[in-house]
Amino acid sequence: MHDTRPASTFLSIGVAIAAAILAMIVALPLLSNSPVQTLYSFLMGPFRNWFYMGNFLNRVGLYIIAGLAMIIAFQGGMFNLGGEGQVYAGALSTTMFLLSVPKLIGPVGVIGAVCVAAGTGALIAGLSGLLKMKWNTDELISSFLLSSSLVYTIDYLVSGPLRNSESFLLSSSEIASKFRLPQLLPPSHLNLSLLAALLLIGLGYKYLFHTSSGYELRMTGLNREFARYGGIPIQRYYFIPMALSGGLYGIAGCLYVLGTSFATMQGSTSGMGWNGIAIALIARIHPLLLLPAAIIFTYLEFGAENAMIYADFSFEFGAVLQAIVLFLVTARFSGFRVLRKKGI
Amino acid sequence: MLHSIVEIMTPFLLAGLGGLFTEGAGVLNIGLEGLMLIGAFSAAAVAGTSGNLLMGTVAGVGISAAAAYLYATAALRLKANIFIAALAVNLLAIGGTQIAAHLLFGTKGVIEFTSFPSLPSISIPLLSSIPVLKGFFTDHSLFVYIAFLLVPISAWLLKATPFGMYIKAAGLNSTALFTRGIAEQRIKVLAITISGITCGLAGASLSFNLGAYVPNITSGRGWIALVAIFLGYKRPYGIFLVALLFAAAELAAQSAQGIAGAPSSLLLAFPFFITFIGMIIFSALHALLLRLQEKNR
Amino acid sequence: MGNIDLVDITKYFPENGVIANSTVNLRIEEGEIHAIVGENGSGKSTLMHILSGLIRPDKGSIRMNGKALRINSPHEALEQGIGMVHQHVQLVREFTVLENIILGREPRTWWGRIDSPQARSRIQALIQEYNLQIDLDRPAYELSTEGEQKIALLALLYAGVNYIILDEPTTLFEEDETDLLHRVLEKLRSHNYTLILITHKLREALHYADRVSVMRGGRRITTLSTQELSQGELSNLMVGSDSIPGQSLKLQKAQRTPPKNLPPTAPPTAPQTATSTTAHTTPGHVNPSPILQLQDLTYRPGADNAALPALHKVNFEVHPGEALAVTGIRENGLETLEQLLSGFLLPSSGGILYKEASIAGLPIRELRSRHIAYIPTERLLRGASLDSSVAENMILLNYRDFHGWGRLKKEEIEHFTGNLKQLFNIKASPKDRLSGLSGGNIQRVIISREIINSPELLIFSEPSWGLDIAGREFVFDKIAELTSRGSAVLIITSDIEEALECADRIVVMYRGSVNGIVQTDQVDKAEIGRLMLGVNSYA
Repeated sequence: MHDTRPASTFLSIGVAIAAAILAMIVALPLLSNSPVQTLYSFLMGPFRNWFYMGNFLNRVGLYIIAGLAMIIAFQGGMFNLGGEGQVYAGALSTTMFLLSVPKLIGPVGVIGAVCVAAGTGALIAGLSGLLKMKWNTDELISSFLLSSSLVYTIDYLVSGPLRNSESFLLSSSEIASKFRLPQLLPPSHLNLSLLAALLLIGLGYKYLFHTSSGYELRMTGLNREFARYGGIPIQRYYFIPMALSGGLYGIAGCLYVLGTSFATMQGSTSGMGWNGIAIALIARIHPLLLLPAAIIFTYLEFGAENAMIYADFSFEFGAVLQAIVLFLVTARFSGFRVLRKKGI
Repeated sequence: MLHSIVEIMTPFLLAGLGGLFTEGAGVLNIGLEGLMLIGAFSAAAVAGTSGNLLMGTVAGVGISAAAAYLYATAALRLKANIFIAALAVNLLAIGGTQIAAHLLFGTKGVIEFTSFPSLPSISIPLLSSIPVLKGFFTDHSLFVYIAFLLVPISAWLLKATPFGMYIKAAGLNSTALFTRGIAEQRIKVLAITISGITCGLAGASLSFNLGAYVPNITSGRGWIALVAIFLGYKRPYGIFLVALLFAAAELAAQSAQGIAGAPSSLLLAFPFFITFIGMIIFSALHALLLRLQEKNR
Repeated sequence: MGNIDLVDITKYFPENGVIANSTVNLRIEEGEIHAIVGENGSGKSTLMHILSGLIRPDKGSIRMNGKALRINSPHEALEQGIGMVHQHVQLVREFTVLENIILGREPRTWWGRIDSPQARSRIQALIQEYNLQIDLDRPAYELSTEGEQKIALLALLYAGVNYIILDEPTTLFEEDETDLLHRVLEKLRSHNYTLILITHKLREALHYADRVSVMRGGRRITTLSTQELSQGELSNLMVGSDSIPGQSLKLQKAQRTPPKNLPPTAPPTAPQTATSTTAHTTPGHVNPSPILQLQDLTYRPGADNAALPALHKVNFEVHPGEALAVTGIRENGLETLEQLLSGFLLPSSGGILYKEASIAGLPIRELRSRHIAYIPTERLLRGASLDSSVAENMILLNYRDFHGWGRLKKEEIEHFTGNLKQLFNIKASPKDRLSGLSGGNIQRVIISREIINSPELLIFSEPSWGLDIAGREFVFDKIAELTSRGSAVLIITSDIEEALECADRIVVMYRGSVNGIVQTDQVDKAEIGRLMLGVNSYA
């Protein structure tokens, strides 16, 4: 499925990274009083000490799951633009579930939470899939609309009815410590979720390339008529890619709560949906490229944030970087069928 | 009340009409939001510092159009995916306006100008005395009337001129254009640039109405405009209707906030949610229509 | 105007590793009708695509009257007066015929509006002059291939060209005894158009053209006047093999060794004489009870597919072990029949019975589960996933056999694909992307996939479409093999020769009805031609 000319693949990714770094180098003198130091913290971001490295790897893990979510959607020919809402809903449902079952044993609670979050995300995204199946509603727009509604609604809930009265933050109450994932590298946030992410890569790959359903999903995504002609039940592959995608996004939100934030804070998961798209594209929508793709992307994002903190202002420069990377990564490859269907 | 609705609907209408051209050319333009933001910022920045609204408008439209032209050309020339390029424009708009705001005005929040020129309201002489239509033509800024004019103009352009035919052809089968010797890429770039122009106007209208620039002044209007295109059956008059309905819904939501004190974040959710429902209803009806057509064979 | 010289044209396609054109020099004389013949992959299409601006050559130039021309796009070609009618016309299907014709050259009023009346009258004049009857207000998607090519031709005439390249034009006017194409070509010539015909049909090339150039392996072999040239000689030049001169293709085929994968108990082929038309079938082994029955099958088109021809009370049967061809002019109901058989359309009345159970309207999934294989005309669109690998395309019908619970049975896939490769002579490796294969090989992948599962009934539409002579022979062999193993094969084809070569019996359609059902060894081409045109109804 991915480009059979690896040279151009790595070339365009290389160009993207180079451009991003170049942009930083150019912008820094304008924005920072001590450009060299800022550049240093940009480039060496995760490597400066184990705290940064831990946080870096933690984020890589979460982004891997988000990227996988989009990979499955794309492979199935669907465009899930509702990641933001699905992650957030996954986080909230996890928190609410665990807060309402305080008597459960730790591991059981964790498993339950994962199921609840996955189910929530799957339902939300799956709804868009169903609408597409029944009434040909464009899933891109419907998933986006639903997700945006959810994001604002959850914002409201977390800062209002579900708010933790004892905290200064706009956040829900925290989950009990028995439900929290073991920390691997304190004081950083790195926890077991990284391993879960790696496991999911393997599962995702196996599903897509080693199972009948994965074959059906991929063929349907590539050429619907071809799949229909071959006897593949294409109708269900409006729903399945979306549901799987939403479920994975939900899991990402869940693991974030279980391992990093231990509560649902307003805006904490913001960006994971969009980044999932970027990472999936960098990975040429192939699961085995998720690890390097997530590392590259997180490295850039991490570096940008650190640089900004050091230079003492918090910008949306990360957004600019992301934009550059996104754009350049997609340059020069003639697009996947699903993206082509939506645009050019 | 109609007055407020018209004011609210104008940005939707402007952005939607521009987006219609790109949609016709086969490009789902999700960069409307970013383009509008760029337009709002540039217009505010220039108008606020120069004290001249016209200059501000020109700046807003010009810079937004330039951004659109650039992203279209870059995407098509480099064969980047146009959709992702638009996502990139959105992100760049957010980041870029912040950086520019910081560099030029030393703030990344609200930019208030010492003296922002006020937006004159105009009434159209004859039409403002017709009872039902009064709300449309009384006491509105020039932006509103431009938006109104653009509706029939777009309709005419798309239906009756070769340009309109090329746009439709570009969307349906751009290879056909290529074999006939028409540069189909240029058509697409032009269509996207048009959306940049109208989004610039929309953005300018937003910041001029406010008299200042605030981050996220567009707050999702670009996306709603996109939906208006689909719900409006991809026709200019359809977009007009949907924008009208949508503005009415938003007004209702705002009043609800005033009356029942509904919280503001929930309010932000409302337009998205109601558009979602609207989309479902539309698709269901459309599917029903198709099935009825088939039965009548 | 003037002579066109293609000088040292060279074109290499790196993604296929193919040298499509190798230093080709060709002169087109002003006002002539010039045919370019060659097999699939000979480079004739590439050459003309270069002339019409669709492709840029790696080396070489195009000159008119000695002056070098700049043709880097169809736009520039049109500026020079060179236009091409493609085999697959690029149209905007949602536009009307009129709109498609004027696309790119719309007449405008002074304030920008499209001047439809002016366009209409000009086009009507062209229609009258060249007898290219077509309804200007129909949407283009309602048109058949013939209609689409008419649009393309009219568009070129409307735009004002001097040189017209026609890619496989004889598919337009298939088996039309009134020789409509010939008249159109002569009319064009009388108006000083220079015409270039790309074709792999030798008879037509000799019939219509003044001179013919032969392409093989990316080179121009020779250019000859068509006056004294025979089909046999031309064929030899095209194929370049050591075929015995003077003998017909059929005879050569009969003398070849039979395919190696016939089971050892295969009955011997019938003895060959020069007039025998079926080398493959063994009538004695046809099962008397039919497996497929069409009973008074009728179809009346509705409002939204009004252009689809109707069918009136079509009756015929197909028996296991036999190959039955349904033939006729394509617009006389072949496509409708195909769509009815594949479940895409529902009959208005009458039935389609398979093993005595109705299969009308069933989705393809259902058909397949009953061991019915179906190869549609639109093979590339529906039968191939171009971005997938060859292996993934091959296992489409059997993929469940190769996937366990997260286990990919790699060896078994390799065995399967290797088997297919060998049996069907597919020149590709299983991991290659399908889009990188030559057209002929893609066809083989699609066809092999259906045949390997030994279907009980194979519905095969336009079997040799997209294949060159070798491929054609190959497919006919495979069809024969299937029937000898007891399967039933239903062939839908507009090519009489194909029908005569493959089938035991032929159903001839005329205007949506069956006009005759004949035994292949009892008729000749002329007879079938007459039936196709409504003469001599046997039914």
